[in-house]
Amino acid sequence: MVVFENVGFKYPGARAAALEGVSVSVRPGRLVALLGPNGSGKSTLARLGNALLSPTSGRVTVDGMDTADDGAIWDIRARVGFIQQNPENQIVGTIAEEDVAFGPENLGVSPAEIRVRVDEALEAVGLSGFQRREPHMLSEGQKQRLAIAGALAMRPAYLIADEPTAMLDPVGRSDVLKALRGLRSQGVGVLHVTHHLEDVLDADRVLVLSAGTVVFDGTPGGLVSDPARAIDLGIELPAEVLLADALRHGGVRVPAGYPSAEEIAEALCRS
Amino acid sequence: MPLLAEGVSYTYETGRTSGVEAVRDVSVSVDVGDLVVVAGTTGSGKSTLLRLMAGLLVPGGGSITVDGFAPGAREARGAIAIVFQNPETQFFAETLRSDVAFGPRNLRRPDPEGDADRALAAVNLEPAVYGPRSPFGLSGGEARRGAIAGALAMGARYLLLDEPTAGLDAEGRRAVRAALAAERASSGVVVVTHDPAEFLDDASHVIALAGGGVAFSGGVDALYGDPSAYEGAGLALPPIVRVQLLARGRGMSLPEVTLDADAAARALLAARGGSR
Repeated sequence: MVVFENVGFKYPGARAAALEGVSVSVRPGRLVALLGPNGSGKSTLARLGNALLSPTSGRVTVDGMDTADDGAIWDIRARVGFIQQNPENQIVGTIAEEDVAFGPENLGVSPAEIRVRVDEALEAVGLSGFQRREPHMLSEGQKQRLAIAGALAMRPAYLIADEPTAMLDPVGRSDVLKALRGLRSQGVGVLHVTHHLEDVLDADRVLVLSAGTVVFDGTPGGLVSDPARAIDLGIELPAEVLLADALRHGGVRVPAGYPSAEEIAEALCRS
Repeated sequence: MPLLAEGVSYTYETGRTSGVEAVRDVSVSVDVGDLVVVAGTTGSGKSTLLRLMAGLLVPGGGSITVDGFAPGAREARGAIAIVFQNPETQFFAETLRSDVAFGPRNLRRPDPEGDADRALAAVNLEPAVYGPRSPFGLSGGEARRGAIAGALAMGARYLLLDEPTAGLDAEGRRAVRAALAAERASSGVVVVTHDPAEFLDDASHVIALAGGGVAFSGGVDALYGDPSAYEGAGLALPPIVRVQLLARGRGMSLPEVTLDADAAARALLAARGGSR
């Protein structure tokens, strides 16, 4: 389990803390979503999760190991994969399989084992057959999935994804979301940082950060069913969710939660 | 006279996309007051089209004219400003004002600081507050608008932007959208994006590219009238628009289609009452 206990963080020289009193845990096989506007502390929390940063108060542990313990950092990073917004910034290999092999090679994994892990990781993100492909010949969505495969080849128990879909087109975005869902079902604990509630409607838990503190801790349904609260929290609900809410107030029996365009239109014509 | 691309094509001759025709027979016209949205998935040719229109690439076929002149002509100098993806990564100065003033200073304008302040005001960053601040301490939305101000300060008639809202939160996207809407008073604006939904209410013209060619070109009404070509280009209309199109298809009378949830709800409830 990745556990954030009452975590605070202040960047050197900054006047205000980037995070204060944040507690959350990510269990294997669970998807925790972290939402909040730009500058709310989301990325700082993500970086604290795999010891890229150490908390200035409270503590972060990964399966019992403290991220502030320098001796544990490499064990922690082997357990917690990390992918970030821009796929261009995280690809090192000249062909896909080399890129994916980079992590396990550095861990001293045997070549035969690396071969197995690389093929499995590429398969897990839907890139089987792309082994010999040059990364720059991939689409942005494929590059981001390659980055996920690189993290997977380390056999992490957890994956922290910091806005992994922010720079992708709709196709790339849906493929990356699918890959992340696949990991969860294989028992990886996922912390997914995003601006988009639509990306994480099936999360087990949603945290909303604002100015470094947790202002909502609940389920995605809790936000979707209470648009006024979500807007207060700075979470943008998709226009069709707001429309569905306004129509319900107008007496139209739109299904609760997150109805499709077809369901809303159907409800309008039925009632 | 507009910024005009007529039947332009472009094939990359070197590098990773060598021999690939990235743009094929595309025509676009942009006048002051226009907001042209160029939509397409990754690899559809939209960023190449933007570079062609900015004169950064020379088309292999067809022509680009800027108010009737070739892009390289003296008369066309300074007519076009381009804002690349994630422009805030190009900040370099100690204050936002001096960063934004860099362009007009290089063009030897008489009052670069004044140009900078007017540009900052145009993107709703109060010059007295934001001018002296470090560009590196801004929020995502502020930084993006500051970088757009850097392009505006050059006083171009045509403003071309590549994915101007990518990676921004809701507030940042709204602020950028408002800044671009205001900019139309004095410029023609072209927005290239794979996520055009938020610009559809504002667009004067929509072009969807697929595989370098034009899949759809027309006004928003034409797009909503028959979205099949647009959807065929791998693009999706926003669900709120689809609700209204589906309602129309079922005989509800909606005078207009909007992205605004409250306005759409009012119109749908009224149409539903009326059809009983």
